[in-house]
Amino acid sequence: MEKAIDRRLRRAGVLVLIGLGFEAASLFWNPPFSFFLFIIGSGLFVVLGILVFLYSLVSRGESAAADADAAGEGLRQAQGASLKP
Amino acid sequence: MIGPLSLLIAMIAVAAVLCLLLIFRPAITVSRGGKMLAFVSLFVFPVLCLTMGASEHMEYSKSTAFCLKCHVMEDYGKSLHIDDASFLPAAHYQNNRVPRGQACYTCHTDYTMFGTMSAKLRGLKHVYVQTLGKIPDKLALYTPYNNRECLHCHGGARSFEEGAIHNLEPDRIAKIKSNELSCLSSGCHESVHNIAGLKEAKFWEEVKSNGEGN
Repeated sequence: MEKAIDRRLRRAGVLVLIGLGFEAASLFWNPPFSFFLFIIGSGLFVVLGILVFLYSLVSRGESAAADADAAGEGLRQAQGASLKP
Repeated sequence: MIGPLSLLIAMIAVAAVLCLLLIFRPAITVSRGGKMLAFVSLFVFPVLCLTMGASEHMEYSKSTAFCLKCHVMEDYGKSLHIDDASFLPAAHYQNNRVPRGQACYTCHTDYTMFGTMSAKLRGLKHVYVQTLGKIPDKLALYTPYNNRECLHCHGGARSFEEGAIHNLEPDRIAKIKSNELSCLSSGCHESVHNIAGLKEAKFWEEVKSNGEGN
């Protein structure tokens, strides 16, 4: 079962990767507009990715509790199923 | 020698690989080393890439090639090659009095505390107008050209301080230095880009140099 923090890390990774893609495109494609592509495309996605990553760090307590609840619920369901005749 | 652009591309590639690793294997962050890897991949490298990318774009925006990428600047680029020493931009460009790679920026930036920043902001506005706005029929400077930009290089130079015309009147030099009398005044250095006269002008063919005396 995937943990909440793993999902957030994936999302952060995807956002940063998209931002890096925009940055590489803006460096190879050189009309004056490429600077706006860098700021809006790359800057926005990379900053969002960093924020999602930082949020995943500070929300570890909440996600650990959510993961524990989900694991406990799964265990109860498994025990309930095993006790049925 | 690896240039800054090559280094930046390499950094982006490394950052992308690290991001892919975290996307496909987020569970590696369970260990201490994995946590450090996540921090480097999702914070340190992206911040470095953004900073270096911004610097690279800033440097490129100073180049003559960047300025001349807009169609509206085509005639101004041609005026740098006018074969007439009385035309200021042409004389400066052809004799390497300004770096050819940053010819436009050298003269059209204010040499004050926020000079480079205000030049950049004006440039952003120009890109916006070029892309989304309406380009005016006649281009003009926002404010009259300040002598400060000329005196940044020519101030203190013997040819300026001891020039016969500059010392024709006792207070002429003082008026020039205080911007009371423009360097571009009629009868002085008034020939600038001369866009209107380009059709009749003769042009100098630029000799490409590799910067090493060849």
